[in-house]
Amino acid sequence: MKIEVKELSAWYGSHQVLRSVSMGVRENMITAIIGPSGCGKTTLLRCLNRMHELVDGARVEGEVLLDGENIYDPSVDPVEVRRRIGMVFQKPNPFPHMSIFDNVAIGLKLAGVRDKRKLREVVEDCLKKAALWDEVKDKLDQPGGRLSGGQQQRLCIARALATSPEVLLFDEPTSALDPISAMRIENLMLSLKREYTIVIVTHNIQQAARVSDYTAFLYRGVLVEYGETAVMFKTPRHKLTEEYLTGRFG
Amino acid sequence: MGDKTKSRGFVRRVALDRGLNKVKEMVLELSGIAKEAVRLSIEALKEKSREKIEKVYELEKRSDVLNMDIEDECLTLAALQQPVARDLRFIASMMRISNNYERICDLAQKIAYIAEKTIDKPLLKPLIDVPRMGKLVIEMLEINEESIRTGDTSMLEMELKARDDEIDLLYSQTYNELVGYMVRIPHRIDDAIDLLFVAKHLERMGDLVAKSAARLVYIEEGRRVWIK
Amino acid sequence: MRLRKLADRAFTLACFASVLLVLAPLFSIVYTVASRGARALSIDFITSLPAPVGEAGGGVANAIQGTVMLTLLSMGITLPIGVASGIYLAEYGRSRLADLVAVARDTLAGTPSIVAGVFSYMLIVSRWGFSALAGAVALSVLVIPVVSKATEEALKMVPREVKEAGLALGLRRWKVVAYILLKEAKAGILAGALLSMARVAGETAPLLFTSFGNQGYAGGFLDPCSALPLVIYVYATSPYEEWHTQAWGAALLLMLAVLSINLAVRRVVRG
Repeated sequence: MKIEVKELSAWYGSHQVLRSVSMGVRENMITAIIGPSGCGKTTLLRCLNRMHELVDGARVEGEVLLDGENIYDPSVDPVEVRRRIGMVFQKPNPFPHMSIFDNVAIGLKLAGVRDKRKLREVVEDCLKKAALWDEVKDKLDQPGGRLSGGQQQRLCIARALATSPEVLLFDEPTSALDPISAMRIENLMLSLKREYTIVIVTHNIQQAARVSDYTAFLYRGVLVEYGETAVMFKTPRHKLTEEYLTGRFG
Repeated sequence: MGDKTKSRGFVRRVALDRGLNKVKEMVLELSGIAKEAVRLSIEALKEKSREKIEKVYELEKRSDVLNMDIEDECLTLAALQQPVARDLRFIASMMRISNNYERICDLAQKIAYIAEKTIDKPLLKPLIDVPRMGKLVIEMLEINEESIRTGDTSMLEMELKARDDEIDLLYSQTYNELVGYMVRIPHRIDDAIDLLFVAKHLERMGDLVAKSAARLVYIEEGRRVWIK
Repeated sequence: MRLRKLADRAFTLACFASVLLVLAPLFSIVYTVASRGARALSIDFITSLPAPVGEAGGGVANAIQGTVMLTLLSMGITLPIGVASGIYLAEYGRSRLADLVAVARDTLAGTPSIVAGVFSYMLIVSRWGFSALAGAVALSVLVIPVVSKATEEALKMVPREVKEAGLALGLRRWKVVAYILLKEAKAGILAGALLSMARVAGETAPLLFTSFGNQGYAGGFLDPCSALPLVIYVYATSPYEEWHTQAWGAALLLMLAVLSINLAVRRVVRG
């Protein structure tokens, strides 16, 4: 297990959004978190790299073990955690006025890397991994905000890769994209899982089916079912899962 | 993947393509098993070989498992990848073709039963038409395999129809011949009936392969054909 | 149907009329200042010191020097304080203190400019006498709230997602603010700074008893200095015809300066 979530509960103010969730995330696999709106799936994801606590009044209880080490231990610096666990957001959010090059390089630059050659190498490598290099290699100095939505999202993926994380979190990465761009991102995830452990939150059940190896179904903050995607989509164990997957909810 | 995704804005569906390919390979493997089973069952009959009989039983078991695996893989693809159009026709048809081929292995097993039952008896007559029918079934399976591999179905109907017709012809010929035997040598009527069943099984196999070929045409061209 | 069309027409017409109403005084001012000021404008006017009453010629070079000096100095004071307080309020402003700062700032923004002058008088002039510095401080008091507010608003305009993206990259918060958010908010902050510069260049009241005025060049930041608005005020209220002409000339100069700053703002904002 790359990540182990142990009895994790989360709150916004007095509103509890996660109720004692426990699950494991396997290395070099894609784990999808699905569930109806407001079920807590994005919160669960944001708890994995300590982004949840950035919201006012947000609180977490329980443990998240990354390679066996609890990232909520008081001795752990959340900044370090976020360096090891990258994140791609729902809305493509490149730094709009920053050049494409700097968008990818910024993480390293601000971490103190000055070597120009090394920066160039990393930028090229990450853009290639994000399947964007061919489209932008001649305009690296243009602002990132000028790319199309799908390209922006791939730029964000390249940016996340640049700080060489071990885990990538995707928060509904294609919900703002057209189907073709979305499919590209899905393919990208499939090729990235060779090197990274991926967790994706999606409200698109079909997407979870297409890309993930394991699926977790959350409902009202409770982990209802968790298992191999192929098994869950053919023979879900829980009636609630069956109803959700077949679109006969509520 | 970057290279191929760029052309004309098309995007390959990596996971789906991989799955479809896997199904294809599995069906080809099953086809191989079916060919082997047909060949061995007839040889077993002819040579009275216990070893070959056993081999056929074993192949039949493998075909059962493989058929189930193919169904499972197809269901997984249908559940996870939302196939449409050719992909959907492929998955649905491959499930049926797989069933047909498994059925062919069943029939080969039945021939092997007959071989086992009559292993201590001399052959009623030298086997000539039966091996020819078997050979034709195997040929038909091979034509199908080629078409599964290449996706070319242009000659499929014609080629299979010719062979299926020949099998039918051989069957009626065998039928008439065996009726003659029954009249002339009544005390070996059971052997004649067994042999008639063998021919019937082979004729049935021909139908199954032809039906499968019709499915292949449906996959590639989307049109329904009857090959008989 | 026809009635609706009519209403639509009437509304459009009303809007157009309002635009004219706004533009008319502006054009009238521009026309008057330009036509009267142009007569005074010459190389000599810009490069020489004022001549004594009765003598022909003379210019406002000292006032130009003073205005440039005051502007630079007050920007030097305003920008760090304004930007820093804007950052504080936008990024860390969730405490009681921050609320207090915000209220204080917004109150300060509404302060009459003469009060800013009095403040600087008490703080500096009463101890060290009239000086350019005292003028700059008075002007800074006026525009710090402007820059602060502009910075805060510009930072708040940066989408939350951009900030989260920075944090998710494992960057410290101050680095995210300093290297990413400020960069994204640059246009807004710059626009605020330029607008306050224009305001600083045009203010008169707080200068009357801080930088005071000077018939010659100021020797340094601690000397009293002249300024274009001061010259306009003094000359325009004088009984001499030639000084009136010079006041128009100074007004034209000031207007051109403010106009060019405003054009610069538009350019910056449009990116």
